[in-house]
Amino acid sequence: MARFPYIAANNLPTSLMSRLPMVLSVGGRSVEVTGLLDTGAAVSMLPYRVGLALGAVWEDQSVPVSLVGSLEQFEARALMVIGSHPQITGNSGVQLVFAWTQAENVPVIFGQMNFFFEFDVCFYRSQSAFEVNAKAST
Amino acid sequence: MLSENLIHELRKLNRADKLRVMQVLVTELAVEEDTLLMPGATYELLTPYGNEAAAQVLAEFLESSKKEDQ
Repeated sequence: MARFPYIAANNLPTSLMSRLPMVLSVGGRSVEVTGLLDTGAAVSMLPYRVGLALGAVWEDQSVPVSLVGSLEQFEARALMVIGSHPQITGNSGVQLVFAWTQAENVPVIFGQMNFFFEFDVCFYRSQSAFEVNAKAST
Repeated sequence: MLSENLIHELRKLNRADKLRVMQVLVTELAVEEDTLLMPGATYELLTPYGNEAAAQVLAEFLESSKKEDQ
């Protein structure tokens, strides 16, 4: 398993969270993001700017996704992305599906559908570390 | 030891600076004493909770994409 440290979003010790750097790709374009590993999120989320940086075209995404809660007011669409990390996926990538939201003020979130279907994660909060492993192939 | 002079100086601060001093001290105390929750601190809840229906839409989208790839 690849081991990673918790990363702080600012200088407060309480902002330490399990944030995983990962390269996302669509077609030939790649963007390195740092996403929050969020076991409470039913979906993975991609802020609008990251989708644009990947070259995704909003109008080309045909599957609407209705989000509730604080993101209810923003339109979202399903977006397929390849995610990779040399320590986790090697040279290959894993197909990840995101709710691409038009909201800007949100982090990249790796949620249950489908990040946690593809990767096994162990959290060691007392050590401010977590481990990630690609699922065993079936 | 806390001097009367320092207290006197702190009392001269405006409201915003007094709050700032409190915030700095509370943060430092929390770190020193390993406090679990800091009084007065703001905690951001990022989880987009309750999106199981959206997850179902993404699951079906993922499944149909995999079928197209085959």
